[in-house]
Amino acid sequence: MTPDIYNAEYAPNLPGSSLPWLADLRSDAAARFAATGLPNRKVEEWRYTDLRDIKDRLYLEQIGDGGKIPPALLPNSLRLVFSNGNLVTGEQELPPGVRLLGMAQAMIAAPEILADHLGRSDAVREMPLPSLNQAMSRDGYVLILEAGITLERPVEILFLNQSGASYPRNLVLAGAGSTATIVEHYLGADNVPGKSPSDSYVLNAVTEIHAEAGATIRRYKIQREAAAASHIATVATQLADNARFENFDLNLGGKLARSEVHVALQGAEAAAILNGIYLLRDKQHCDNVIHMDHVAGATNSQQDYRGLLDDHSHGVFQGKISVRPDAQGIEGHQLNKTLLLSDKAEIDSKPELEILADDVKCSHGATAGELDETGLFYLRSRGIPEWEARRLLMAAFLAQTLEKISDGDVRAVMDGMVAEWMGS
Amino acid sequence: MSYSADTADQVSAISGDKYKYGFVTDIESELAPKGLNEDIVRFISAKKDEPDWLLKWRLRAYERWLTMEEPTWGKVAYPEIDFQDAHYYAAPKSKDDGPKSLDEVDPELLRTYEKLGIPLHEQQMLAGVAVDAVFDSVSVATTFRKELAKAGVIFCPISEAVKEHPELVQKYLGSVVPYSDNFYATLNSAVFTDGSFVYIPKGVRCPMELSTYFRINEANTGQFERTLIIADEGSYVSYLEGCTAPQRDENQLHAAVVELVLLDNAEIKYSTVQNWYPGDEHGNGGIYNFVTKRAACRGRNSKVSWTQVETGSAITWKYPSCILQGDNSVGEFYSVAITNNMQQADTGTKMIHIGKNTSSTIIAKGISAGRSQSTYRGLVRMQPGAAGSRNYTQCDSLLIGDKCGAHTVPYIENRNRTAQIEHEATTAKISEDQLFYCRQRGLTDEEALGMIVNGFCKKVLQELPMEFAVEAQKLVAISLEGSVG
Repeated sequence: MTPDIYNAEYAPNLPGSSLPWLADLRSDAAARFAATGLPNRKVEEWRYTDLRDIKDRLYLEQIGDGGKIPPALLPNSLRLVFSNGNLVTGEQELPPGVRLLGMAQAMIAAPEILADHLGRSDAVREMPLPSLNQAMSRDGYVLILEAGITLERPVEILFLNQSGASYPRNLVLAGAGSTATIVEHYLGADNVPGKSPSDSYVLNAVTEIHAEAGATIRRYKIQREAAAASHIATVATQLADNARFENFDLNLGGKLARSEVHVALQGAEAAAILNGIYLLRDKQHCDNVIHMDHVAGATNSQQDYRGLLDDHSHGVFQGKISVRPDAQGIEGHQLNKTLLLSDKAEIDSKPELEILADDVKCSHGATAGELDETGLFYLRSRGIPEWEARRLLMAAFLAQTLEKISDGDVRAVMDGMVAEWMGS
Repeated sequence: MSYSADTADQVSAISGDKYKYGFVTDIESELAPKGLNEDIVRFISAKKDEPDWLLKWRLRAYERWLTMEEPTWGKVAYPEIDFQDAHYYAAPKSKDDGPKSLDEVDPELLRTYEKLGIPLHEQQMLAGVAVDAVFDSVSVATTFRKELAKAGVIFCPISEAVKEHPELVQKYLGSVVPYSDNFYATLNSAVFTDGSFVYIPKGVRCPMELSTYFRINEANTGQFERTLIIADEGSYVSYLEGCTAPQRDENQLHAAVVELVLLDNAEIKYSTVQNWYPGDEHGNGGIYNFVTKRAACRGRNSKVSWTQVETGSAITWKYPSCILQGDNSVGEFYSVAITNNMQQADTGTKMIHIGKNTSSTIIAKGISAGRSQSTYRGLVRMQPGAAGSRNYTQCDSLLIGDKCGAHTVPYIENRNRTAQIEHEATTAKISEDQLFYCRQRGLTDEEALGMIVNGFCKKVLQELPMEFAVEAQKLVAISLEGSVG
């Protein structure tokens, strides 16, 4: 789609097209994407992931709905459901100081707030796929927490996808001292019981999170896209003084998945904890990209990503910790561990440090290999059958990351999904 | 022996802002005209009286080079290099006479080496090290040839090997680093002037450590050494390489290629101390060091070990690599990279595991001070056939001062289930507690720093042969002068 066709035919039909600032934001983004196109493998950040497969599917319409909506994962959650791109849940009662609505709704209800915050993160402004998202997106969720609000109920967003190309655009604004837990659940219709396998849709999502001083946002993403689908999701988080961001990515589905998390630690004492698990089989490809940007001094970050790769699957981890000049008193740690379960699986790991200040304690570690032979032998010598010994070791391996999920209900959901994957 | 006392002496002996080896020897050079074109390539080849196949190889490389672009992925910044503004050949005049022994070597040259602290006579007598000294582009003195010949070892300038052992050179030259490998290696292939050639025959343990001292002397002279070492079945050699260069204001380009070939059960230990002029504290001058070093462990049970201490050069771009093709082959990389003032270093290694049960170890220590930038960039790749292979990588960075940078860019790729890769890296500043402790016991800031940094690098320095270990420890301390306090 050229910018001309985009501006003449596509953009005028998007929600909020009458807002001049939004029209400009979109057309700029469309022009930026048109200038670069999809990144190819010669671009360093994309050296392990090939996007040629999705090139022809970027502008397909989403036809029909996502089918039967499965029940919520968490009890008592505030829930929004997007079925094949359309917001289908009705009004729900929200606690005072909390706004949870669709992006298209917010363009009518709170355009001035969006004008101040949408597309504000450098991380999403400069990259091709988030630019494409900005240009194409019709909807997504918006969560706004006023200062000092603690949202007790978890927010659960379900993106139920079946066809076409989908561009959810999400925005979380956490006022000073506010707290919330968010689950983003991406589900392919063929993962819903009784539903036939859906086609090879493309999803390119962006979530922007702005946490003001002392705010805490816990975000858990569960990715269970359809087996033939491509899932690309970018999160950009900005943290002010004392703000805290906990993120967990569980990657299970899709043929091609790319999950990018960009965190800018902009205020002193801000902290980010990013963890993730990727469980791959068949010819699945999953690329986790992290950029932890220590902009301000006295900030802290932790990362722990683990994966199991079976069959012909291909796992990628590209994690970068940057410490800006004069950002002193930094602690940043990163760990990536992968177990290869098959002779044909491949893991590529690139844990990177870029340090421009001296008062830092930064580290990374990466391991790749098969299940520990001695552990296996020990368990078998105690009479545990090999298959069970393997399962135990794998479970123990993943538990070290899973236990970092601080929300008990979410932990239980994730544990269940991980156990289900290992059982099958 | 007390390293710290020795180091401290050295530090106090040298004043802070002067490069110890900064002097220029006045020897009339035979220069090729400035610039690079096909005629220059032919000129170099003719000067060397080379066979036709080598000229053709050079010309193929030159043609390829014209189509290549300078790599920009390194974390180094420098003004664009004008490849037409340099001389691609320089030879000391006395070359025509062809010195047959040390007595015939230009005394000016010998004095230069004395100033560098590597008098050939002394080395002959004391260290038992054979020296193939490269002064600018032509080898001028080679010692211990006879004794090596007795063992069947060939150690000579590569230009001589081309004539005397063409079958070996033709078979192996470019077999590890092809002429089309990368921008700088291709340039080297087109215009290399000289370098060392080593062949260790089957079952021979080289009776002495082989050593080459390089020295860039002529202003505006690019240096393009080409080293080829072949370790035949069951042989062993330890090869030392050390460099110093005189002080210059104009940047000098150095693009060397080193190729190592190891057959069954062979072992090569390759050690480098690199101390070229790093430029002044404002980043003026200094050597651009763009080096391609690679070892091919072709045979079963072969082992290659790279040890490097990199303290000099304005810019270092260097990744000594191991291709572990033979089953059970072993690759090792031990590196200390020290950058101070405005120096930039982007260095690391590649370990390509192809054969079964291959193993590799990487220990890389980076020390950044002043306003310098130091990057570790490394690749560990387990190919699908590398069953049972292992890698262990540790790269640590130490920051001294708040204006410098330390970066780590490892690539870890595993395509074999039974292969294990372990990688760890840390970055931290020099410990105030340790500095305080040392000062409290009466050491000066710089003595304390020298000692702590030497401790930080110990795992690497202890891999160096004795002759180098002492020099390297002094260098470590000297390189960091003025970076604390």
